[in-house]
Amino acid sequence: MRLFHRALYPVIGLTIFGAAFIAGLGPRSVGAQTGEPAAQDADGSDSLTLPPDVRHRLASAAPAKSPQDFGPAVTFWEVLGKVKTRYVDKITNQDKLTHGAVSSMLRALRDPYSRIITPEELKLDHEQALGHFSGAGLVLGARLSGDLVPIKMGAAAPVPPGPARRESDDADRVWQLVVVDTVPGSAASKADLQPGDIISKIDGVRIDRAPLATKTIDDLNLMLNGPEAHVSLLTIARPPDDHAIDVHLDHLGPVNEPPVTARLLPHNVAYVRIHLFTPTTGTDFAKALSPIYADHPSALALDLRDNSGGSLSAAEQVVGALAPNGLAGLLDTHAGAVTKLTAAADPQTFSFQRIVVLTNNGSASVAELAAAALHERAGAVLAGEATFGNGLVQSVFPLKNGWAYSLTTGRLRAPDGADFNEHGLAIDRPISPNLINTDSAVAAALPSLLAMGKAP
Amino acid sequence: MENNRMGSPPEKPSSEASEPKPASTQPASAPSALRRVKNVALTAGVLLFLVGAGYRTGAVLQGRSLAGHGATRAIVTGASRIRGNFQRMIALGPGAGDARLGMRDKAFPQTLDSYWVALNTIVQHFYNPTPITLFTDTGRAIFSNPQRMRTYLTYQGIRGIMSSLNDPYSRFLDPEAYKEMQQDNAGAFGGIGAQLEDENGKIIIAKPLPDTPAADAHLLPMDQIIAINGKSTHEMTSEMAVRLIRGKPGTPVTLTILRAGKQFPVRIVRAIINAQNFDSKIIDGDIGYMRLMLFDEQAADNVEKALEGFGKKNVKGLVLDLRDNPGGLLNTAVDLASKFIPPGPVVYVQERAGQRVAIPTNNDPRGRHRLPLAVLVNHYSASASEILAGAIKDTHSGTIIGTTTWGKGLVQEVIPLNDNSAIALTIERYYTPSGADINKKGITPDIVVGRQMAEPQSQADVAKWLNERNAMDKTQLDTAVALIHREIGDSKAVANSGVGSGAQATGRPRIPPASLHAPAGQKR
Repeated sequence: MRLFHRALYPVIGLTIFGAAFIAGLGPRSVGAQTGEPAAQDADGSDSLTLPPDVRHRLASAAPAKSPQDFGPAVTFWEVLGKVKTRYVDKITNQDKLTHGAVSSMLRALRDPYSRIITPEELKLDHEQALGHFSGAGLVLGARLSGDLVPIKMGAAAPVPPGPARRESDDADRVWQLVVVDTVPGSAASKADLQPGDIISKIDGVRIDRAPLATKTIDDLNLMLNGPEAHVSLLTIARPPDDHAIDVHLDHLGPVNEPPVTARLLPHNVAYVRIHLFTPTTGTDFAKALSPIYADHPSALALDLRDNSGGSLSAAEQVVGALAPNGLAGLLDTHAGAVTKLTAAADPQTFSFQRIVVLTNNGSASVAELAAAALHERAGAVLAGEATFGNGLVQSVFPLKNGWAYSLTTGRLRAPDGADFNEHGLAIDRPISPNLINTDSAVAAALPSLLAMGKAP
Repeated sequence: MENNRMGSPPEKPSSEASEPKPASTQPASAPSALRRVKNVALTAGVLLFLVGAGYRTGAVLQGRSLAGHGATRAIVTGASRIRGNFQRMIALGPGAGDARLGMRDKAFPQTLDSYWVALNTIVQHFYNPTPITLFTDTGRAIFSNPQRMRTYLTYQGIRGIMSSLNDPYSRFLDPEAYKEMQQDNAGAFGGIGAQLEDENGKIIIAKPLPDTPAADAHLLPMDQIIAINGKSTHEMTSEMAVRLIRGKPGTPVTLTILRAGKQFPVRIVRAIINAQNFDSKIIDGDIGYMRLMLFDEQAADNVEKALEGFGKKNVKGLVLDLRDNPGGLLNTAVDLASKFIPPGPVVYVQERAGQRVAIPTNNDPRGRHRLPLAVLVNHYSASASEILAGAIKDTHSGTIIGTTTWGKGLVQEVIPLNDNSAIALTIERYYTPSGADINKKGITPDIVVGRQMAEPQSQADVAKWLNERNAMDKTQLDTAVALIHREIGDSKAVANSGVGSGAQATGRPRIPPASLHAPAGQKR
């Protein structure tokens, strides 16, 4: 097996629900799109066309840019008619057709995060976004097999927008199921699963080499983290040598990501740990830090180890509290557009002489964005291990009856333009992998890290 | 707009499908880097291939035959085996769909709307996260052109519709596949004559057909094709592999073969693969043996000619070998049945909520043949084979020998669509003359000889498997010969009636075979 070190996309990395996301992106061009007139009906030579009322209905649901855009819809509509009138059995469940069509279209994108989501899976996703886990307590992700080196911020010229394109051999790259993080206290955490472990067997049953080509990540999430999960044995391949390890899971059950915690360390260092960016993390952060801040700590250690990301606005608030009124990052979207993300201008801000952000390879998504922004904007020193490398943003769009679908709609970059997706962030002060998972060792290392001063 | 862009996202999707506004009025900029052709995301592909029904591109499938290990099989020949394929090509003449046109307006409007919104959302907002460029079956980058992407995604949506029917035989044929299907039937293809199998993402040669370029190049069963003309077959479907391997006769194709851990290129010159769908000979001195590999347009004539030849040589009994015959055209099955069974229904067909309609024998002027008849069948005898075997069995016109047949009791119609694509849609069930529904059951032979064999799992198993399979085939044939000899001993009178007599000629014209070449102009 090869090494697998690319593109980690935590399930709950960053999900922005459709309406809000789109509402913000649209205005540039809305004017030109509105009200596809029925007058454009003449779409050429096709003898078969949509009846005006059907066409009008579609045009008002999603305006087409040109009359030709309706061409495929005519074919699709024709198929529906044939199935309705000719198929040997009467179709009783229209939803099944809808889900079949939409999921098939999404699967064609070969992106594990663009997928259809059942109501049950959607509920699980929502719970997990709030930090409420059940089952094994695993934060799952997908990654493309292959190697990449972490990105050193400031060291490289800003990456142009658009997906990273390489001439390397892509043919053998497949999407794999990986552990992004484990929830503290969960069965997975007790079993010592590590970020980056590739799951190859569940209860002894080999999942495909490319499991995400046949199952959605939600199927696997439900299997491992659902309320009814009953998995007891995982076989994983652990980088860097993809050593196969059997991991036994005991005492599956509900477990929550810990809340934001803060305490004062020796040498007047404030220490705050964030395990997950939930929608309330911004205010939780301020609340936890305020009492300690009253003691005028000289430095802050912000611990983002094993933080798989989460709410973008929460991350913007945390960045805003420490480095107000500036960039929190950049967001690339489909047509090459770049949106500037601003650090929230919170009423409550905190100022420190020095900041250390602790990361490991379980720090992903908006946790990486926050680390990069603080590095750049507040001179924070990144210490620990290189991060995961997930900058992708999904939007969720509703279907009828509680179903929905998720679509990858953008990619986050650091404020200076550095692309950490797939690469991960390089750190300024490495901490030995043997020590990184030991809180006391990290605490002991902090004073010297802080003494080294600000990053250049 | 930066600030409100995603201020506080609602925690739940809103109840109404919110249509995102396009982000730009310009056509989406194309990912410029042209990358070498890689793979297809034929999402419906898996289901499609499992089918067995397939006619696609001439390549198709013995779906269920391989259900044991989830592999599928396609054939790279001009036209050849079409597993379980029993369908009628019906040109949609003007009016054919009109009566139902009104129904279409109301056909699943929610599905249409959801498709449309999803299509536009994807085209306008999808951010391709991977450095892997997506290609269609024909190797065109789909993101390089919004119009192409819309079409490709729509086809994927239709494939999704088809697979949601849970009917292995209903499937979508994109314009290319539909065209190839028509060409296949015309037999005008350059190929190499190898039967491909699609196993866990690997393209495996199941069988090089005899006297083909593939056989001449010494390709072996279980050889893995890892590249075609330098293009990796990784995650390729056998359908796409077939398309790449085929080409103009006389042109070369280079396959990179992986055999026993060693990798080497094989250069093969394509040739017209004459699908040898019929074979006849006299065996054991006085028994006429006919092997029918496919119910194609020529089958009835081929059989008739063979029977005439047998008549001159005074054969005393007939063996009709339908083993491994995946089916073909309904009318051909009816023509053939008319040669062997008494006048009456050959098969009953029934549409949804329709009556059972008998399809009768066609009163072939050349009459019915009354020699003792043994019909050989096996697990891979499907569709039209089962109709013929079922009619012969139910009318006691012959003895069925072998193993239980495939079990396909559904009829598809190939319906051309407005953009030169098509769907094969299951529209009817069929029943044997005794009223039996054979779908998923198959026809149990009068005399069971042999057993259904699992397909070989590895190169090492192949030799053993072939030996066993050959031995079983021989035992089945021996059983048929012995049976006929016994019957000849009992009934000389029947044997003397000869072959090819026009005892029941009525002068009515034969029903012509269904047209495989429905003129495209006839569709609406």
